[in-house]
Amino acid sequence: MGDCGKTDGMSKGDYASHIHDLAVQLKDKVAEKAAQTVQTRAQSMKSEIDGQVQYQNQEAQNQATRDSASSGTPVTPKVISKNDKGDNGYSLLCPDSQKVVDKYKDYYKIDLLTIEPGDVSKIENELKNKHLTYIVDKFDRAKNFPDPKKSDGAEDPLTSVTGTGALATVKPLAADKNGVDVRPNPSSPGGLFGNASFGFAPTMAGSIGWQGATATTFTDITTNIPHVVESYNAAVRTVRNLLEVNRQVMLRARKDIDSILHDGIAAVDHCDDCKQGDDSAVATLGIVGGIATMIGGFVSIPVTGGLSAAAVAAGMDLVAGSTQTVASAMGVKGSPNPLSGSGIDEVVQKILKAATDTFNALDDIYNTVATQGFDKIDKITAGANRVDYVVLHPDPNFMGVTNKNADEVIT
Amino acid sequence: MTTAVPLPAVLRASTHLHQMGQIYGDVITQVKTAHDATGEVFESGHGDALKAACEGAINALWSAAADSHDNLFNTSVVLVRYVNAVCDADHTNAKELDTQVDAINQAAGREESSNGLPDGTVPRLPDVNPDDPDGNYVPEPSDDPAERPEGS
Repeated sequence: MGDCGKTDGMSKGDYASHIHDLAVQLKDKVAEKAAQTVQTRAQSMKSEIDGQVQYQNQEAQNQATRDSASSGTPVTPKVISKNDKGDNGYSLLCPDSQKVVDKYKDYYKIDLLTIEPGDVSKIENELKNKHLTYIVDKFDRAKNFPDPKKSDGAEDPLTSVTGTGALATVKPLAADKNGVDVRPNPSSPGGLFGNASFGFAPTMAGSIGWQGATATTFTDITTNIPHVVESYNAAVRTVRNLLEVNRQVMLRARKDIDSILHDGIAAVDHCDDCKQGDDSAVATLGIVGGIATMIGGFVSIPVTGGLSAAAVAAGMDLVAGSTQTVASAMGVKGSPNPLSGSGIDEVVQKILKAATDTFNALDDIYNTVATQGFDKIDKITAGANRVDYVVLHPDPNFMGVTNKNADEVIT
Repeated sequence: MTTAVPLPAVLRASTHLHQMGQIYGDVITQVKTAHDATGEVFESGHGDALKAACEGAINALWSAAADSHDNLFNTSVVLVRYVNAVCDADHTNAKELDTQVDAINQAAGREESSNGLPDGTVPRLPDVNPDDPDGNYVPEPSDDPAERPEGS
């Protein structure tokens, strides 16, 4: 039981076709299994309604006979038909039968009161071609799942920028309230930057005997360069990792929908009316809890007044590795969703609920990754703090030294 | 040399800044490529807001890299202008700088790695023309402004 194991390598089109075929198989299997039940129950409802009509008309006739005898004049009985109230006899059914009719409308979109209880094959065809097409429609969204391999096009260029190492930390440039420089020693950012930012060390003014205001400004600029480069690199790497989160989520969602359909078909196949269905357990998108844990790393990032490097690292280390998947990194397990039920209608309901849960989980994840991931990076990189953290910039005073400060350095 | 300013070191810093600006140019190319590839990464329809958030973040990275690129280039130019101003204040500095830069570049040319190519850790400095009539003893580094995302 479970997914077919082939979804990872499928293109978007191939996956859409695969899911469509499985959904049609499920629909047809449900139609095959349900046709006899529908026929039996439709006949049962028809008999109950006919019986009620006959009973009530007989009662009306009896009453008319009594009224005629007592009045001495003929009284015409008030005859009813099953559709007097425009509900095809629904109001004539007992409450339990009405529940059955309601359930079939909910689960199968079938009105037992309008189906002509003919032969089973005719009902089966009607179920396949009309009443149960909503089962196929239920899985339409999965046909739009993107090909996870397409993430390479966005991730690979960013990886070339940042390298594949562990997440670099974002470092504030300002001193703390005691005037102490709180910057950690910068590390090699990797990727395109490599060690380029460290080339300034030998040229720092303080170490080569250059004195004066210009030298001080020059030293400040060159000292900050490695930190700014590393912080920018961290922002790029974080975006790359968020793209990887999306890829892993899509891989998982593809498998889950595939698994729901495969397990669902098997469960329906082994489900006879009024017997327990299979014990197949469809794993709905169990990644939800794990994603929340991972994204929790972002939640604590303040967008003003500095960054919590530890929080960024704690969140993104989970997807920093090239081989570790989000699910395995977080120990995520699917939430078992047993498909057994008291009848095929209940089994079908559970299959569809599993799909709904998966789609809802996807929406939650999308929202979390967007608001707690990409949006935070946007604010860090484009907001008021960007100059301090991720953009190399000349000091405005330094820009003015081109000529006027030349004299100060002449001995 | 009649100045306390280590002009070759300032010139080397200018060269470093310009080289870093070129690295940022390469970064911009990659970030732009990533931006262009996001179209097929997210689920269409339900993932549109996520896609927009991703594009916003990548555009912010792109803009930040473009600003760094341009600022690095501008600062490298400022440093060269500073060197020229010092030399202009005392022409002797220009002549001594020319001599020192020649020696540095000869050393850089000799320092080759095992594959026979120049060792990039000792960059060549721009040649000095101590007799430039306009006072541009050291040529200013040239570069084009960085490409930026639409709307920025």
